[in-house]
Amino acid sequence: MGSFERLFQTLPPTIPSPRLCERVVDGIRQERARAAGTRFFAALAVAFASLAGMVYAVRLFAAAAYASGFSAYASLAFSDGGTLSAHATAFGASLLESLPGPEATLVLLLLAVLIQSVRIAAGSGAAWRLARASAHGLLS
Amino acid sequence: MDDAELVAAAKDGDDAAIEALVKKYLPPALRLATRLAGDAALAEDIAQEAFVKAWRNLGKYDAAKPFAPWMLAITRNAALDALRKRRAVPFSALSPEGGEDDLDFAGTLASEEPLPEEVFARAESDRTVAAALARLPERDRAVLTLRYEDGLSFEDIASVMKAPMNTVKSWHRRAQARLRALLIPGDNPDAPRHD
Repeated sequence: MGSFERLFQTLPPTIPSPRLCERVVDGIRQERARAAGTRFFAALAVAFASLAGMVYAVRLFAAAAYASGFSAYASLAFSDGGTLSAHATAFGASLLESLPGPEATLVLLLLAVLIQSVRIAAGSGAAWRLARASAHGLLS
Repeated sequence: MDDAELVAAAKDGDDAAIEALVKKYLPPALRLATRLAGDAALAEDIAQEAFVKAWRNLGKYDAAKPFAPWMLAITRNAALDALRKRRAVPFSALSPEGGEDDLDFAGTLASEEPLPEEVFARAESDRTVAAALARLPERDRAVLTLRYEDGLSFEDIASVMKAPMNTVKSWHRRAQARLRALLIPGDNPDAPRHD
């Protein structure tokens, strides 16, 4: 054993008390609850914002679809199925051509954000409740 | 379960894994915090803060590397932050005198020679080592504690101190020389040895 190793063995050992162990674990649990809570509320805010955005985007899409004739083409699909099956290719091309691309993209984008934020909110909400219960010693 | 598995489980919110990590790494973290802060109550706060920070940053931990140096690096940073906030120690005392210029010179010191027996006799009777350690600059205390109390390799100490390994070896030699000078009156660390 080296001289310094031996020297450091004369130092009093630093042994953490069980109370400190509990304090540290509690600190981590509280931090976990706080982080899950922040994630939950942030996801909830994004979900509401994307929902509000969706309302606006759907209205934009409806106006654009009406102007481009897309809604007229689309309504044909439900009203005149026989003619439609005879000219399916031409109908499909016209329908696609009249689709208001930017508005449709916006709706789909906001829908994706809404679904994802709801999923995150659901997951972090459960984690938040669990972490809070754990931090407050409600779980055995 | 090894550390990587414990960390993965802790990330998923497994309370048992968190407790296992705390039980395993609290002693070295508290030891380092105590040596750096020199105050038991503050050291406990530092250790707690370090574990909370570690949990917050578990996503950044590279499971391919050992956990202890990563945890102790966070502990050291938490200790430095706490000391700066408290201003219990003048800021200049957190860094060793001499700066980087004396690193080459530190290599000329023959610190590895055995310490005299009376040093051990005194250390055991009146705890002179703890007092001498407390008088060292923070970097010296950290290097010596990590090396001799935690038994870390120079590679791991370099990882904790975020410095190249050769630099850490120089710091280690310098720290040994300073500690020796405090324990053996008249032993000047700045005087080059030729023996």
